[in-house]
Amino acid sequence: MVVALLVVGGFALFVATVKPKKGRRTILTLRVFAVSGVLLAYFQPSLRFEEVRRSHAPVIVIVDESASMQTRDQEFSSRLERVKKFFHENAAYFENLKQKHEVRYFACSDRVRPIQDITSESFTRPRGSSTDLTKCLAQAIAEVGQEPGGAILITDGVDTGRASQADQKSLKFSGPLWVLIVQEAPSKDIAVATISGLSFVLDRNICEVRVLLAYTEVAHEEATVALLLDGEVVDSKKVSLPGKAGFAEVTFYLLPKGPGRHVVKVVVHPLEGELNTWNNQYAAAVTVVRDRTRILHVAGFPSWDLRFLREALRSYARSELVSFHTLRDPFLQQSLSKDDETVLIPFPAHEIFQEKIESFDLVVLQDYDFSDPDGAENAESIRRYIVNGGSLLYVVGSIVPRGANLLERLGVREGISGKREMLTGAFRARIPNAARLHPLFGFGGRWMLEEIEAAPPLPAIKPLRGEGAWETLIEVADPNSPGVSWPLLMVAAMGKGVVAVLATDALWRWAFSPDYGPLYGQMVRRLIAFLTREPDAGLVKVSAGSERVAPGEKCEFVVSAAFNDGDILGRLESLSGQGVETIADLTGRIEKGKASLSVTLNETGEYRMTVVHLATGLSADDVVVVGPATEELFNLWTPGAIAKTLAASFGGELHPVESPALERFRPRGGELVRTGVRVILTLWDHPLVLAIVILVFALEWYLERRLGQT
Amino acid sequence: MAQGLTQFEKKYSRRVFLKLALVGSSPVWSLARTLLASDFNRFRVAQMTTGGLPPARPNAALVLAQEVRERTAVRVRLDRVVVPLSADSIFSYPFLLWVGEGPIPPLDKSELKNLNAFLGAGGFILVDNAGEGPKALAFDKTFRAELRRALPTFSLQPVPENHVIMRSFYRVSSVAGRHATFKEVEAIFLEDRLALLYSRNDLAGAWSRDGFGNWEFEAVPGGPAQRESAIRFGVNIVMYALLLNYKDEQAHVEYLLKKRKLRPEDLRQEK
Repeated sequence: MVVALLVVGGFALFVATVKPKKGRRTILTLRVFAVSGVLLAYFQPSLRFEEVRRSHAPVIVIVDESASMQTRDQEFSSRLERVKKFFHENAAYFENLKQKHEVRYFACSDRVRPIQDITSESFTRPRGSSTDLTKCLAQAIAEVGQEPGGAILITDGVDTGRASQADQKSLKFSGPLWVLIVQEAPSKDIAVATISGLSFVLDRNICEVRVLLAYTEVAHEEATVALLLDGEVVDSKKVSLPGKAGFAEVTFYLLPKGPGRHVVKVVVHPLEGELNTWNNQYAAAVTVVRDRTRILHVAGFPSWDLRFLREALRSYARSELVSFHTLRDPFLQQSLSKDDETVLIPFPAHEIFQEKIESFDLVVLQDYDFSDPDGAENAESIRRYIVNGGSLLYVVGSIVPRGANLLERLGVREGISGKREMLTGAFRARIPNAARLHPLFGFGGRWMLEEIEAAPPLPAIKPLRGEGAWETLIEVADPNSPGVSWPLLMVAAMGKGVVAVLATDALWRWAFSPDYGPLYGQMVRRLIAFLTREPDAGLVKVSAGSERVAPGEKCEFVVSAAFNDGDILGRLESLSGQGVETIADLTGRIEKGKASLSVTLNETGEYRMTVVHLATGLSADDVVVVGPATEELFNLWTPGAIAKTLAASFGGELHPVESPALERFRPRGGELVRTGVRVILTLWDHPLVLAIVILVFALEWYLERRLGQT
Repeated sequence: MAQGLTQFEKKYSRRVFLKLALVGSSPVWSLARTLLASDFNRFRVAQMTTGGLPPARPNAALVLAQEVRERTAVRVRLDRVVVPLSADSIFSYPFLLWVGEGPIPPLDKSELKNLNAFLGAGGFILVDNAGEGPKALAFDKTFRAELRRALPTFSLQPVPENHVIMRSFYRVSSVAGRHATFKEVEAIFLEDRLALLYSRNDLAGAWSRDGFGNWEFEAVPGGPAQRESAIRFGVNIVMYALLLNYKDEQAHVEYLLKKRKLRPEDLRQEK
């Protein structure tokens, strides 16, 4: 175009200046056209026709639906109700906005959730574990796929995220961002602010649980705080709340008994007139770890049975053995020496059985007759220890109880009335059918079934019978009384604990046999694992994917079993109410020893999943806690800095939701978008243009010849 | 003798007598059954023999068992048991006393196998050299050679003075027996377990009594005090066989009891 202009311009100037004659002017004009035609061919210009239009820029509307949004006041049942009222009152505005922009709605907490229809969204329950407004804004922009023309963020401003200004600056968003704060006047409230001391909890070791309460608008009151372990109140304390607002700390001591996952819950009784009680409790699923299996072994006298059992106890992995064996009968005057010539020490029966017993995962009594002065109290203390979650292995041989009969307290009676002595003969062991699937023989112990039945007969057993819930795992046939069998090893659950009774002192015969020594050792080790509820000892195991999930988040329970296949039933129960409530029954199937059950939990609370292997009836369970992080529970009336800086960073404003000033919200228009048809006219190769150029050359040649000019 | 059976003989024929004996003995049997009810867990000192040799110091085992019974809470069965090393019945007696007075014949295959298996299964053997002069040397030489054949990867090691066997019941500082020629005893250790103890001081000689209850041999040079020391050492050996390193663990009991904190004040003390 420029060259063409230069040529035409140059020619016009030449004509105006030189003023050639008419004929020459014509020839020159034709020559200019010819040159133009050559230039056209060289530069190949083309003509384009396009249609464009300006697009509707998306506008995103984000509604905070985190836990803090359920805060209520006298007028509304929750902040989310206020949000619903806001949309109802401003329906016309949003309808109008939809005409000019593509409006996309999202709900957010720690992540965004697209909402298809804002008018039908119920916002009935909070979701997510915390609030991260910056992250949610970034996620919403990513969902939209392009930079929005503007954004409206409706939140109470309680942001528990850790976003920095740099994070905000990295967002691909020029603004404006309109932040609407949903809040009401502060009302009396007390909440659990933090709980610490539960990150590493050892079994049978006291741990200190520190609870920080946050309170506001109180008038020098006292709060009652309770600590619960697996639904049972462990301790309850009163704490003073000085001043109108602030923090109060209370310390509890927790002694967990048993490894695995437990639910620890802190509950603050509502203050008088308190409206928001949803933040008065906080539950956590705590994994209690056992560092060592602490075993107490008390024996009435040294013997081979003691010797081999002791070696087996010591060989148990990670065991810590505390032994007390009577080496000299204190009631007989046998001393031929002064006390300092022996290494004997008095047995601290009271200290061990009454003060320290709770520190043991397993108590083993072997030929112990409770003849010490506190015998009856010690026996009762052991019984209580079992009921409260302890484990006992009682090896009964020839010894006859003198002071207190612990066996009777455990529901075990003499099998032959009036006879307390052992029976002799050749007692061959066998496994009752009902016991073949017991965990003692599972997960690598199946080989023991045959070995036990092939083992040498035992020369003596104590005839006992268990009453009630006793289960016989190994029995022996009485060679002297056909049809009669006696339990050799029996177990029973007692309260929260477990008891096993071994009715012989001759099992060392298996231990000392080169062929059956390994059987003895393995049997004892597996018995310890069963009695101490070692998490790996069960035939079926369940494990929740994580200890805590946010409301609305999916939770997966992984099932592993000693069986390769089989149908399973998973029962999900809520533990949060007054009792246990079944929420759902799920079915699944074990393939190659594994299965998975998934469930979405929407309500805050504590849940237990119990899985049953249908073919065998064996079961296992695990717990999971659903709820927000503690940061969502308190500090509800102070919009955090994040909300303010967001509005400022993106050229927006911050207003209360009741007076949103939406008329000042001016989202940017969209970009120009090519939508029409392109018509490309390539002039240089158009046949008409070619014809004109040829004609021009022809005319110029003719005129030159005609006029005789060059 | 008159021909034919008398009335008495007819009435009490052998068959009838046997029947009566059986019936009559059943209460005795029942009583024995209950009296012996706890026998299978009682401690017994079985004397071991090899190569068909008669047991040396045959009274020592019983005396040792008696002393253990009198001085400790161990339930002891007082009967004389002699068991050949080649017999599988040795696995009914986890504690064996092997006393020799002179050279021992080479152990045969079953004896070698049993010795190995016995110790490996957890058994304990007390070997005592009761010989004098050349006979003692001969026993020592042949015993060590046979031990090398039976347990080629193990060798006799001196038992340290602070080993738990020296304080498993009594605090013992002397290993003297009938004589006090050697100041130490030797042992085979299987991992950390003392499985075989070898004394060259004729411990069994210090324990032996004759049929009238008199000591068979003088304890030289220490006399009664030395004998008492030998008996105490014998008691310690038995207690070690039954309890292994129990007394070593006792030293840590207090620490272990305090390790787990059960009460809030335990936590405060720790801090």
